[in-house]
Amino acid sequence: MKSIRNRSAMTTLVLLAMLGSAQFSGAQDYSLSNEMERKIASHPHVRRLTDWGGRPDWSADSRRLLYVSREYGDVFELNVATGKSRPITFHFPHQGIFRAIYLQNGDILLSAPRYHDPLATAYGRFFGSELWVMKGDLSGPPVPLGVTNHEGIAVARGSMRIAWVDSTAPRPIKRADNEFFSRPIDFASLKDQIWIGEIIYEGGVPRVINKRKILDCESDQGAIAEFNALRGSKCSMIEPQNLVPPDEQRLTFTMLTRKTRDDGHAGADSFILDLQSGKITQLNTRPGYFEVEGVFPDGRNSLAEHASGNQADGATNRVDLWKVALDGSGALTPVTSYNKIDPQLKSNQGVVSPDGRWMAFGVSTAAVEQKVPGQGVGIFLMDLGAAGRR
Amino acid sequence: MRMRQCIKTFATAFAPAAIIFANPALGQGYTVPPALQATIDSHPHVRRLTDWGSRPDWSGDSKRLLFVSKEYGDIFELDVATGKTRPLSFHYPHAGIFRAYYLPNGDYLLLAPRTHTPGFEAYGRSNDSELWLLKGDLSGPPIALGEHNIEGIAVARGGMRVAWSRPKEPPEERVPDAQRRAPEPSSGESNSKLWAAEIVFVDGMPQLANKRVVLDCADKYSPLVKLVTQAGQRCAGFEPQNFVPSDDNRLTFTMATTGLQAGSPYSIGAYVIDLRNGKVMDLDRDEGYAEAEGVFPDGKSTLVEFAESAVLADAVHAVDLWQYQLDGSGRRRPVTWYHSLNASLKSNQGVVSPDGRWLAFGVSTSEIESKVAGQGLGVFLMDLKAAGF
Repeated sequence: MKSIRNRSAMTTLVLLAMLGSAQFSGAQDYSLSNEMERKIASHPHVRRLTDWGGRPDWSADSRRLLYVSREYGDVFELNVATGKSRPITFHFPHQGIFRAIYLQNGDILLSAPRYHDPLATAYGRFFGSELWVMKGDLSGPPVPLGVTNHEGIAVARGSMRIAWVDSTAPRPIKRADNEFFSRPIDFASLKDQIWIGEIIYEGGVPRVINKRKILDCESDQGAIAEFNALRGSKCSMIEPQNLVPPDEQRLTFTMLTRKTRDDGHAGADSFILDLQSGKITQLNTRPGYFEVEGVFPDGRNSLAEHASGNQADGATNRVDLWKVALDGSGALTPVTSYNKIDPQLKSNQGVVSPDGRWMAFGVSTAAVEQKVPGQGVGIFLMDLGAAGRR
Repeated sequence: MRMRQCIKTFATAFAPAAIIFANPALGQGYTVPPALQATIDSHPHVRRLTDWGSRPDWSGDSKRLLFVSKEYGDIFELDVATGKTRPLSFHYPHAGIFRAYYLPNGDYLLLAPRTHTPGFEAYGRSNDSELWLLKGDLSGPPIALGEHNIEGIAVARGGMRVAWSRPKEPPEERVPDAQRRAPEPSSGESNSKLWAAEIVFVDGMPQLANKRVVLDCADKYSPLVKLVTQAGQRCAGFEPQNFVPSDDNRLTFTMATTGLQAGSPYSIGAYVIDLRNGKVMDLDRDEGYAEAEGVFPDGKSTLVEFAESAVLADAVHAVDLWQYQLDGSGRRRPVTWYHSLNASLKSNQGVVSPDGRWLAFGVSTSEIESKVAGQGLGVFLMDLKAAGF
């Protein structure tokens, strides 16, 4: 339903290495050839909403979309009916924003760094992000919640509950991008943990209460450890996606694993956690790259970015959006098929409107993403009803 | 010479802190009420191109506009016919951009700080801006040209010539905006200089060649300073605007002046200098607030942000765009009149397309500018031909 990334931390591991050598080696125009544009436009039941921007998030009335202009960019709100975008982060000085998500009360949750070192953008993305609340009436600058995070956040539709990833590992020494690319940080050492809490306001000032750890990537005990022990794998990274409606007692998340034995499993897989029982269930049964994306409002399915293969062989450059059942059956239905239209194309960042009618998502190519980290060729809208994917 | 106080874009260096800092205590919706929007829409021969962004600059073919999303923002290029925008500064990490201009060779000239320290936005605008060249094919990050500047610059259409003013020397003390105070009026002799140079490429790398001072507040023998002195005023600073087509041998600029007595208020006026002989003409004949804006392509006239208000702290809230002759006759003609439609409105940042057909400009209110420094309600387009220009 929200908090969709075009490129997860997992994907970034692969892309950063590519960026290291390719970042400024060629022309950087973000546009595509006319032929490629024609192919993109040929996808049924889809229309293009913007020519740039990413990470869309639906408003509760299914009429507006928040999106970020780029990584370390500004946040805009798009009126889907009129096509007009309005900036909502121009009124305060900031260092760029990673993500923006509507909160249940109309305020906006931001993931953004306090400082931005243009020479260490990758480091800042992973180790500099904090959570902030900005009033929905834009009556002031955002207020920090005192929570550091990296990558996506799950935000409830029916309450002020949020889930985020933080790490207990000490922050590594800051590295410039050229070092980050040539000598990637060992993400397995981050000791990711998913935390959950509720945002409340005291004297009008937001803060997070009831913080509690619900998943621990590093621990040798608990649901993740038990699950990985069976598969001969170990958790490298985890990322929350959505609190599942209507009761929001389940959380979808993606886990990146590495092998602990020769016949073990390594990859990116999608899961659902029952917050009451602590039980985790894998959503994907088919091999390949699976990163869970926006949940459907009936709570029965979620979107997932999926492609055959794994990150190492470029799966993240081929992903399209699929509908995956949340019951653990592994039932899959294709939703977008850009990679079939042209192998250079991919689609990602899918989020379903609360009324279930629409899907907002991104289309990109590996070449565009290499030129502009985190960038696609705009935000697109699928009529899920017309496409028979509601 | 005029005797007036000013608060304006170029005059930010002379403006009270309360005006130049965005005020986060206010409601921050950037929209205006429907009635005011209807008033804006009622201006003849104008249509709105964007809902945000500012400081437009025309491409050589009069089909595209560069603009900045906001102060410390990104730059975008708008295809006027299709209404589509494309980002031009997403492909490299940066600390925000102040302004962007087309160069005649297809590259872009950017004004941007190297770093952006939160809480030092106003300081950075006045002291940290540098000139950069961004390749037109976006084949890499911009390349620094080794010059700092303050406010706008002039970029020739017919050659790679640029003109700029350097920040105050010695630099002002680096303090957070919250502690920064506007300088006292007439706080001393100004050493402000306006520089010109040509951009050349050496082994593919751009650099500024033939740097020279074309205006110097401290040069008491120059025609300009003589003109100012004869009027009982003192030169306080420059902002270049345009090399005047078709030969680019004249330069329009805005100058701040003060009286000779301590405590004299600042004034703002529009001028043109003949770069061959140094002769300067006062374009606005000392009346009201006048800031030079985009030149017309025939080289006979220029746009000016003008307000008649005698209470000059108010003038900045009342400017509209006027056409002023460059012959020194003082003849002028209104081009936009938003402030006449509604006293809360203003129009500014006007630039005329190279084919002379279109005017791109901004519309804003003081309330919005107090909320979002440098921001208006978007970029607007006037059909100058239909409007009788």
